[in-house]
Amino acid sequence: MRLILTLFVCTSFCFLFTISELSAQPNDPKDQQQSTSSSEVSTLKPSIVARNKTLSYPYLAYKDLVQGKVRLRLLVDVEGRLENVVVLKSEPNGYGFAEAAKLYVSGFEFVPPQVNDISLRSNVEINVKFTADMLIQKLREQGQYDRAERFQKRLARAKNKSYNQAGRSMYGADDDSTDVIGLSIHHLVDGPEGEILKAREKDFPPVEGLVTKLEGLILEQGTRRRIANAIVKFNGFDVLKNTDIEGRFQFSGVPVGRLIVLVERPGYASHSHEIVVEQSSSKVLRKIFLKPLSFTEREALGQHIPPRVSTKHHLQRDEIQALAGVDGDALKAARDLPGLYRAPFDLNGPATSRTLGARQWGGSGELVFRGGIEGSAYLLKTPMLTVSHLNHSRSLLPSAMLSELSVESDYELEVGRVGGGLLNLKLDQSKQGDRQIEAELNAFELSGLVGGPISSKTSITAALKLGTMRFFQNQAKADEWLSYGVQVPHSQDLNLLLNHQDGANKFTVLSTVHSSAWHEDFESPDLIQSQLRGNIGETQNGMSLRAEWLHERPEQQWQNSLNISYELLNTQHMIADQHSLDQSLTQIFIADRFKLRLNSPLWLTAGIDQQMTYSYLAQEGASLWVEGMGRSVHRHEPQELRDDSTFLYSPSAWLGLEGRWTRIHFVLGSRLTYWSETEELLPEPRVSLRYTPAFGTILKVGSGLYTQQIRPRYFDYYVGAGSQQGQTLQQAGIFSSSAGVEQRFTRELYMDLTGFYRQLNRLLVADTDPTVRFKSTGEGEVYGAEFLLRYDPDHRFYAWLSYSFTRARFKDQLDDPLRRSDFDQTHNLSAVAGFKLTPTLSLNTRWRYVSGAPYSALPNQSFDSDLAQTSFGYSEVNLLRYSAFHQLDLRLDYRWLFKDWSLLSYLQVNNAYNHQSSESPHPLEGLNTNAPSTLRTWPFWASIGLRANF
Amino acid sequence: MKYLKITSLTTLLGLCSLLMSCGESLDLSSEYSLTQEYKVFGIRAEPPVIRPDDQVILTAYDHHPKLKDVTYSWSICLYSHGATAQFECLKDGLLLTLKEGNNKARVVVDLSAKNYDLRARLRALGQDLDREGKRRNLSEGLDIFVILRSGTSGNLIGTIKRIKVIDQEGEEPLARNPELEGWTVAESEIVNKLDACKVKPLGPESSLAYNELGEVINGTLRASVIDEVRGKIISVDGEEREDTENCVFHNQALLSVELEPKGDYEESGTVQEGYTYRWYASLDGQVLTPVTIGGPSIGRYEANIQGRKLELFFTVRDPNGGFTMGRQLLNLIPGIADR
Repeated sequence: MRLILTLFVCTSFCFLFTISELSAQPNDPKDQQQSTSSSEVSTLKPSIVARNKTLSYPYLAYKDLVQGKVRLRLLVDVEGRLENVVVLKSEPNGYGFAEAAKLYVSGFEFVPPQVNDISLRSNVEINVKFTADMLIQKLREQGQYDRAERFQKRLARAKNKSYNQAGRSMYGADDDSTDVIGLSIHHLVDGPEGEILKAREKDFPPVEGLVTKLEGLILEQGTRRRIANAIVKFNGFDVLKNTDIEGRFQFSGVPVGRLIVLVERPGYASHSHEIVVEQSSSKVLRKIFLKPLSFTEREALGQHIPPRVSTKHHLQRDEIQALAGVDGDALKAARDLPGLYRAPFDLNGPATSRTLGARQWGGSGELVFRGGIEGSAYLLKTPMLTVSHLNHSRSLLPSAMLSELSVESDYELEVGRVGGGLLNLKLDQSKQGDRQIEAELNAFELSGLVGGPISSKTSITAALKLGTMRFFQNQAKADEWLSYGVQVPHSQDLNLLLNHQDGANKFTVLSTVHSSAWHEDFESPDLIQSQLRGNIGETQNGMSLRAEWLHERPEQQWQNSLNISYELLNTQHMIADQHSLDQSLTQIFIADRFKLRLNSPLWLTAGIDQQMTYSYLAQEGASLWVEGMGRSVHRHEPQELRDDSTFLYSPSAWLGLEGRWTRIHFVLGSRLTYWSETEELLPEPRVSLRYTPAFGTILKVGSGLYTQQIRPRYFDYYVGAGSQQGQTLQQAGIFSSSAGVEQRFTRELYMDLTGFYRQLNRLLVADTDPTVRFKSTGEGEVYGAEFLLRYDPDHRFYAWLSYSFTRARFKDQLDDPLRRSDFDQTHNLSAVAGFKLTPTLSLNTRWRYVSGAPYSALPNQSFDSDLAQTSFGYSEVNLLRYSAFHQLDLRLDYRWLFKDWSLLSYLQVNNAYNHQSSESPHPLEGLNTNAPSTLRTWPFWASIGLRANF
Repeated sequence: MKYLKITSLTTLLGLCSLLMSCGESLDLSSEYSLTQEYKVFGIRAEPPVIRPDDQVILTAYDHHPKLKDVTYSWSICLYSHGATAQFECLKDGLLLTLKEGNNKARVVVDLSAKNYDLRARLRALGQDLDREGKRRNLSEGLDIFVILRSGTSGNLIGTIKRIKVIDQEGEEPLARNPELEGWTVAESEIVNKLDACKVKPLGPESSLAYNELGEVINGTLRASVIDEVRGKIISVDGEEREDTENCVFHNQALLSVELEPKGDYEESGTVQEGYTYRWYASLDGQVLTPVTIGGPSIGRYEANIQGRKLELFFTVRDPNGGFTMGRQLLNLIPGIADR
């Protein structure tokens, strides 16, 4: 079995690799013939899409520690090959800079400019810099550390001198790409200036005759995104303008008549067409659309890497939408990054019932980080209640509303009440000045988004998601999907986003309304758990309102943000006529965060926040939540209707000091939180340090205390420990340490290797004495490593390999031996790759391998003669393990680009080789002693989808 | 392109080495079966509600192909928090191992002062608090737990039965167990889906015979058999198809019940008055549980049972802890089908 799998995976990757190689070759002889016929050199510039050789420092220059600069003109043929290189300027001479630069550019790959889809012969002038950073790196590579250090100090002195004279942004030099901590990836690659810097602008000279003013807007074809830093020229005139951040340009003194406008931008096909300029008093805005060349139709990701990080641990919206097997859902996509546990399918939800005998509390098991304990999702810097769909958390927001998501196992001081990790969602606010209309239909949902400005300062966006899978499931009469644990609700999510920016103040308000419901009438003859026979279902509805007021004073170097959220979530479970459980959860969160620059490298961060939660639980019939006791539906006493409510609050404050030197970045501080439910005052000191020994390399280490809040239901009288007993509970404490290295090899290729260790204390565990029910005596340790190797999108390929190795061992009491935790997921691997086969056709692939969840044998059955049902006693907890999960997902995208809208069609193939792993015990078919009936993963299935952007 | 190759090859090597190295959880079969060789359907206490000095007869209703190999161990726990505590006895001293009739499916227990002195023991427990913080009160009634561990060696199953104990004057039983009156056999029905096949009804040798331990209830059980003729299911290129040229019988046992007093049945299997019913079936000695669909009045067991022994079980539970079971052996001789 293992050998077959290995061969299959190897073969698959070889196949995909071959496809990518083949797709790189020109494959249309007709096009080649047409374009080759043109021997003139176009005024349009080619796009440089790859640099396959590293820039070598000339020996003499290295020996004398001399920096240099070479200007070259590159002539590119119609097939994108480098035809000739002319050295325009090289200084200083005599050090071999010109030869080194020529050797460097010989590894370039180009996309020639196109006019009316015909490729043109073209040239481009570039600067190649030989910088001090490169010298230092080479000195270190040669072992000359002392010399490098001296040289570096000399540079630092010079740099500080000029640095102090220059204006600084809110965060000082960190936003500048020349900052070493900011990795200097641009220096590392040393690409042509034209790609990064704006060209020198020239307006029309005075001419005879009628002239007028011309304004225009450069947009991305298909998506209408505004394109900044595009160069606009007119044929026959020595004029040039750059588009601003809104994609606008403006010329004055434009002669009336017919003109040919030229537009260039790296990552896009160069564009030219004739326009008629008329004398007019009215303002006319010319819209010009550029055809994207890059894989995801956006700028190269390397330019978006924030300061002080070397690698990217987040997924941007385009990546989420293109990822195979996730249907564009942000929370599903997050599991392909290191650190996040893959939750198996489980109808019951609570992790404890999944593993048949694990006894510690673990929450829903849906957002567990680093194998230890549950984390939380954050949106607009406020905690977000998540809802479950297909037994996994799902995003209520359509991905079109998001800009990115990140998985953060070690996070900042401003986040509290979370012990496991943070799933951070960021709203897309980059194009709030633009109209945006998007509609998507696939097997899971129908979604639509409309947004745009309602004034010069305010924009609104509305998005609606309707779950469609239940509809398709009914149409296909796919009742057998039940056996795969597919309980798909009818769902409706409505989101309304408002952005308002007025000077230093920025307001963001997001409102979400959600409802979902499913029910099934179970009448299967295989139903052993006869008490579950009948109508079983769940309904959820809720709403949330969250707002942020950001006040930023860069000139005074301080920033303040106020975040407020209100959330209400009602859930009703119904199992036949014998069990019902209603839960209502209301949560209010208020936080004020303040950041002030003390002096040159030091920042003060401080804040206060308050979280208030009201929980109401009512249940009738069996106890559905005897959590920590295994399969709770098997263990209950008949009960009449009982209800209880709980109110919790937890004010918190934090203070931190942040240092931002050239090579060192550290954060030191502590939170202090009072917990009303346990009457505890707990500090959470944290420290992190990042050090940059060389360009592209960051060493990082961090340690701290984190507190995981006990959920309100554990203080419920009937379900949890009760208010009296609850005072003996304590909040779970997590001591977390990690150390790692980030290394960037090129602009696109980088890796991150991080080792971690966590000590868990005061974990909530179940007690067999029902008068106690829960206690805080659990302990545990988690250790492992996370690895990310990532190749950011170029014009035809992207890939990443995410791997987590985890060992999680828990125990219920001090004297107990350590055993596997519910979340002991030894291997968790995601291999993702995307290939652009043609400009409009792309293939996305994802292969995952995840160790099976632990479970316990059940040798001790107890049959309740009065209730005709079986309950189980456990042998050694979590001794056994389900079979591993592995699955290949494919997605084929084809895009039609029209002038101002685009249509994307996609075919999704999930579980391509139809491997069905055991996931969790089947709650409806009962259990056997050592071999439980299991839910299995979905089999092979395929679906199609459409997405239109207007 | 160079880095594309590096990345692809690194990924490839990483995956291959990982797959070759991690074998802990790669393969694990988790087959399961709905059949059970040994099955305890329930424990009947006679009477179901007792006084502290009463004598009670405990009977295990169980099934095993070799019932003589089954061993029984009876005990009574005087105070347990029930299912939420895995039926563990709260204190060791509260567990009474029954002396008489051990290793038997039926035991007669005298709980009076001369034997177990249940009254004195429960009065002593009266000071203990239950989960709700109330004192246990013998005059209002409290539950004791009968614990049976039975089965064959290596496959022992625990069964729990609550008995309500009330200290109440009088001689009349405080509650009675439900009783089954008997079975009736409905006429067999033939469903022929293949015109090409000639069929005869259920063979004349078929019988519905009583076997031991069938208690009597106030109601009538009905069993009828459907001989359904279908084409033989064959495999063609891995797909299952029906071969209409090849006639086979597909037998169903259609079970129904009429009870007194009559009640409206809910789909959950519970009569409004609090009665609960279960159907079970045993084929070749293996118990398949349960077979009820569509409520308690109709049970359907569908399988090709030609020439095999089908045993049906029907259990009744009332709201007072009363229990009874009827069982019926169906000796089905198939009809004849030819073309």
